[in-house]
Amino acid sequence: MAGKSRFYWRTEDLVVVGLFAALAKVVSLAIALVGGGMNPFTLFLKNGVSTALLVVLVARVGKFGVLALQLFVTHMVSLLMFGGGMISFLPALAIALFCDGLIALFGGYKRLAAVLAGVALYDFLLRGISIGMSMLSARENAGMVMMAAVMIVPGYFGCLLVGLPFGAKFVKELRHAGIVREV
Amino acid sequence: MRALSVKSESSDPCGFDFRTRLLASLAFSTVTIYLSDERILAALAVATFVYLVASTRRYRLVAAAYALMLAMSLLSIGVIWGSYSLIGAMLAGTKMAARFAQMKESVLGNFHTPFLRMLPSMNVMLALVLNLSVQKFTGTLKALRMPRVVFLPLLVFCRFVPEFVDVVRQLRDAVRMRGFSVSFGSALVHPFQTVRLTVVPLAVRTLRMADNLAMAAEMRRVGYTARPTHLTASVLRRRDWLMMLATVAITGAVAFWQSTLPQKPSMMSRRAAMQEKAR
Repeated sequence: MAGKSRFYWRTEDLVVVGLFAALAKVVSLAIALVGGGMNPFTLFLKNGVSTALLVVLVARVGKFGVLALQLFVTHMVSLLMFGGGMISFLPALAIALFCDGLIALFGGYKRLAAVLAGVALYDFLLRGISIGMSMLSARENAGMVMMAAVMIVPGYFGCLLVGLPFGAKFVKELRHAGIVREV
Repeated sequence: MRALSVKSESSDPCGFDFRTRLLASLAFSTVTIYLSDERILAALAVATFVYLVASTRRYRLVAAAYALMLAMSLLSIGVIWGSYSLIGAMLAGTKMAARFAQMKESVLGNFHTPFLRMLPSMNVMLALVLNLSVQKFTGTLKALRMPRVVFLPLLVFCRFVPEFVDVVRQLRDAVRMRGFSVSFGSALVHPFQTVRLTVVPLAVRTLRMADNLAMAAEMRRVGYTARPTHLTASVLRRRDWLMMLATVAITGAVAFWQSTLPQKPSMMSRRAAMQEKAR
């Protein structure tokens, strides 16, 4: 496949985004099944693994807009499979583009630190949207909204404590193995 | 390769186009966020249930989905109520205990409206998903003339979820053969080892798979043709237009009905009133 592609997104990039979206969905489901549903430990691990995969994806594709594209695919799938995410789509897309911009601004996709900071902020802001959505859909019941907000915390700790360190280690190993190329 | 196999089309009693079902699910899911009156939500739930049953006629699956939803709802209510009880007991004698007691009461006080809000969305989504096949879905994506950047990742996603389920199974067997076990207990005791044994090989395999698949897609010029041809033509018929019209009419009517009713006090204003009363 020598030669320059006429598209900004190469076929390989698009295939990687689709495959990682599928992998993240299957792994999350597997962890939820093994972990026995919605408990703090399962949430911690599930979010950690998803973030680690997201870091690998962003480092592998390494182009402006990869977070937005990944978000678009996962939102379309959640919309079709679970009926959720329609209302939150536009703000989430704006957040993804903002974080893409931040990564590009702070050293680009080749700098692992910029990728990690961008992904951490992206995960944090998406959780804000989740709380907003639960406030909208369960606005009559303050107890439920509070508990939904509390349940988000172990998930974000999973992102920070498992996802980012593992993601960084994966990327280093994959770069060493030549699977993630340093262009 | 299982991922490249094409499933036969699922039977669809009403024969609605995928786009019609998609519009219905988007419209109903969106309007339910705005609705807050129990009567309107209940009426919408009944209307969408009729649509679900008539358009799928898969009674056992629908019953199973409802049983699952009921079980999940009861479980979540139980967990939330139990958590507030536990925290309230731990904070007994402090100022915070009274606040947690209020929260606990509010969970049981108005739990039906959020769940009632979920029902219409669930009905239209089940109607969409139970009639969905990969072939239909990809045909619709092509018919909608989605750009390559949207079409290709979605196509890969749909084709590869079953493939990954097989990969996860193979990986579990491989880990067992090496004398390790992957379970909730082992993940709790050795979380990092579990991730290393499962997620790392999965990520590497995915990246290798992506290389091969991208090469195959390039060779076959997937997503490049301006006017793609497809096996099953996706055409909107009269019944689809009628269904779309009904969707717009029903969602518009319930939104109008809701707008004529007096607004309920918001969560914040109710909380402020409760605090005022407590003072």
